[in-house]
Amino acid sequence: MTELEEGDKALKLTCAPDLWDVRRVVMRVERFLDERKVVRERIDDVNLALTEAMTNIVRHNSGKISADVLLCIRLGARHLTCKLSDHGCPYDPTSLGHFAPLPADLNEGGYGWFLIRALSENLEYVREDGRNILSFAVPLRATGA
Amino acid sequence: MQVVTGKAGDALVIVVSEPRLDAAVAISFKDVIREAAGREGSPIILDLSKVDFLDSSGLGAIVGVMKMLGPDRPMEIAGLTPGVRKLFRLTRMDTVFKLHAVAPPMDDTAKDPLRAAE
Repeated sequence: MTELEEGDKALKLTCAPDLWDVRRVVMRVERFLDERKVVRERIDDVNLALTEAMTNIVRHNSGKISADVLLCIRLGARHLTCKLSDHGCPYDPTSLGHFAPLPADLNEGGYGWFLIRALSENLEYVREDGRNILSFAVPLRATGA
Repeated sequence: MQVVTGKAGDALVIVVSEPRLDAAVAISFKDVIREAAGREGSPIILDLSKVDFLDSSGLGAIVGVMKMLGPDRPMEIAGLTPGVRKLFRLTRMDTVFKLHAVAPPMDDTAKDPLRAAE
């Protein structure tokens, strides 16, 4: 993890293509939100949505050199906006995660994009100049899901 | 990755002493639970009260362990913290596992810690 910039309402970090670094980055974001008095329940949501998104990207890019992921977060009054960009192969999640796997099927995977969609709004993906750019906004309301 | 095991009546209680069960530890989690479960036929109660964070990889590992144990060794789950409970609810895994608010107390004071390299 490399910290590039911390402001009152924004944080910019890079994450190495490594699952332990995903954890470091997510815990750093957790501290950023905790210091700004975001409620625990919403920090949990951000934690999960970001972990799922970054784990997907890191796994997708496994084995690639210099496949760092750039994370920019911006704290608004109602949402935390997350933007993740990387130079890996395209992954278009547009058709993914609209339904959860059936519980009775006892799937060991396939929940990631569903969880990101369940916890966020305005999920967008674009491929631009050889980069993947994923953005989504996690609501920060004090109550409710 | 560390777990503590003990008997509670017929059941084997496995307490996961790890604050985050995510993709980084999902594979070692499965190995540690497989070892902790041993070959005895007792049902298992997985105590997650020390786990503050679970992601879909951690959940997948729990489902994998349940499938590996098979129908003769039912696995129930105890002590879900709020974030972990939400993941079970969103994925509807709360309809698959029998959930308990807290794990039953262990019979003996001599608990058996197991550790695996990360």
